[in-house]
Amino acid sequence: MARNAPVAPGSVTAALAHDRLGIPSVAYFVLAGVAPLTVTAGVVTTAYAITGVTSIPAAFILVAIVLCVFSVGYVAMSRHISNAGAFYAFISRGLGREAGVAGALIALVAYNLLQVGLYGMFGPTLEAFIQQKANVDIKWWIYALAAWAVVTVLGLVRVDLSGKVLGVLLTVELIVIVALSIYGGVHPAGNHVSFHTLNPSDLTKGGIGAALAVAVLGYVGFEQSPVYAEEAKNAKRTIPVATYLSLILIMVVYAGASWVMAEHYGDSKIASVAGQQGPGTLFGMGNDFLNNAGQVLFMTSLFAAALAFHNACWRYAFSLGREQVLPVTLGRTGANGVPKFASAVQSAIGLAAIVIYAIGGWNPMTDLFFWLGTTGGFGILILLALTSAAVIVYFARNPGGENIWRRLIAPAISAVLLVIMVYLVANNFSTLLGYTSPSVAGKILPSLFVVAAVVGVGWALYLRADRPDTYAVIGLGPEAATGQSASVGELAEENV
Amino acid sequence: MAVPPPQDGGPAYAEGRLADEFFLMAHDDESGRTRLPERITGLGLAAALLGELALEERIEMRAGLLDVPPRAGGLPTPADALTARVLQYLVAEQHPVRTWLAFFARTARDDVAGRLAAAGVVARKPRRRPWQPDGWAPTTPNAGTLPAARLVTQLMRGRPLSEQQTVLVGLLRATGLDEVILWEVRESAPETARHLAEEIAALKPSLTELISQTEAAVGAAIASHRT
Repeated sequence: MARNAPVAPGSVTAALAHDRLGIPSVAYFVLAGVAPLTVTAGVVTTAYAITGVTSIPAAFILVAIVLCVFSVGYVAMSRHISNAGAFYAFISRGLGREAGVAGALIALVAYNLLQVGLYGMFGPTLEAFIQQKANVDIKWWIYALAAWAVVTVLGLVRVDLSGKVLGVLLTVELIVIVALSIYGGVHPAGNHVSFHTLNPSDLTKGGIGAALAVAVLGYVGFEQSPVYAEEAKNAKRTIPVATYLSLILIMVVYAGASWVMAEHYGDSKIASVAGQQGPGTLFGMGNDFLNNAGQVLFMTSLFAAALAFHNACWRYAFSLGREQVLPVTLGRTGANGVPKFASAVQSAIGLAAIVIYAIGGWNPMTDLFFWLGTTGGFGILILLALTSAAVIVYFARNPGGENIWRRLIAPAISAVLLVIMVYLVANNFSTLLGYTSPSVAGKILPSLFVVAAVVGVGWALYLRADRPDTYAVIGLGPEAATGQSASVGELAEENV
Repeated sequence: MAVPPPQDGGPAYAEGRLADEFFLMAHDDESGRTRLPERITGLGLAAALLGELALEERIEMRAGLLDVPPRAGGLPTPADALTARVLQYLVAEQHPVRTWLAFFARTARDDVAGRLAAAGVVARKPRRRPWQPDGWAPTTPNAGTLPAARLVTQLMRGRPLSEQQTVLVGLLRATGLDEVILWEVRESAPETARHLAEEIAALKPSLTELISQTEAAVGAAIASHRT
């Protein structure tokens, strides 16, 4: 505070605006959470190998368009509600508190699956890397446990990888992906450039659900953009522009890199190459330097993603604890500002997953990373569809301040498309998991979300009958303390 | 934290303004570094400064909004320069409580440290590493621990809290600092610890509003992972 200067009108707004985030900062935070190298090297190659579907590049383009349309209503509504970083806040306000708690539990399951899945890629990758460089043979799960331990400690002592560290890693990751794509792209298989994998009409030839699920998984993280709204320079412009920008940028990277891989190895051979080489399918397209840099960055990217999803998990648990929808302890923080209990619960889930897979002797890359990761991605897809519906209902009741494109047309288009996608993925789940015929796993994994939804609705009904004070604040997250919905729009009415 | 017997006739701040006491509890008495993340310290101190004015009934908070009631115009300017300055801002512009918390949180640590330094209670302790902020350490060993010791002793002996102390406890809970300051009370006098929530709820509406707004602001900062 300036001690002696006279108090000038508007000085409060000006001082607060000074610290606010612009479009590039928000886009950086969002992209860092998306972890592009984890997706390009890990998800795309495993998807080629397991599903045998070649139209993944086309799916990336299609899904990015759907998500851009989705974001129109999503970002618009985020200005009108509090706790706008969490899907269940939207769902509670649009579709009711019962649907909200169902959404909250679906999200908890989905983010936890995404988080624990990452250990299944990190372990084997480090195992292979050390074996190759130092000729030391150590089991994948020992590396996974080491990564788990570091995530657990960082989660509890609150050493965030700072925005700067993540920003540098992200930039280098993107440069390496582009460089590898150029290297691979100039040497197409059989000296013939094929654009087949980019052709959306190929999507309909089978496995469309699997390709869409993989693409959705690739974009998970973009939904965090409204979290930064309270600190954005211009709540009405910064967040939407940063969201579209991030989506389009990663679409170019994902579609480009996955197309180049198919083009470089040949559309008909990509599945078998990816099956043998895994993430090396991407790195092998470059020279020695790029290959090594890619492998090292892949591990830092996986680790950063594991930490980011760990944080996303406890954030959800923390918000629900603050509302007392889940035990209050989850919403309590220690002096260091970390909800220790919420963080520890997520760590316990991670530990259980690694131990179970190690004892069961299951394949970490396919059965842990890809199965649980894509299942988590499917959970996010369900939440996207519910959120779109919630946006329509919310604006039908509170139409003020938004035009018809933002409050009705865009959310309606995205709701229809997302519901179709949910249907296609659910229908194709066994293909997604790598089976050629319907399987038990293909039924059990997606039905986890049905269980979560049923439990959520039941719990909300119990709260309505027995703990009406808690029921009343469902969806408000940290704002539950005031019992009022303090939306970013209201708080930042003057932040221009 | 060990509890020395309460002393009378301590240093000049013995009466202890709300923000001063929060400041001393929020800082390590040796290194002078904040015990809470920077942003949460700022929010807690900003709330304590607003609390000082609310205790004197110079401002009112209700349903998220902050008002300077007309009758407060008749009161003399606060004798304390810092609260007088804060009040000047509150009179000049109208904002929700949350906006004011965010605004004063930016500078509250330096502002309150300045007030305590002027009274000779703390002195700047240069940072040990370039990326750390400067510390503010108490000038005498007692000065740093006394406010917490007094509060804890009072709670342990079951003596009633003053209005200001109840607000202080409310802010400790809202920021998570109670984990450090009040652990002994929770361990040895769990009944008293449980009772605190009721005492806070029984405060004047303006003061409970301030505490809930602080809790929400801290929660939002934690949930958006920008502490």
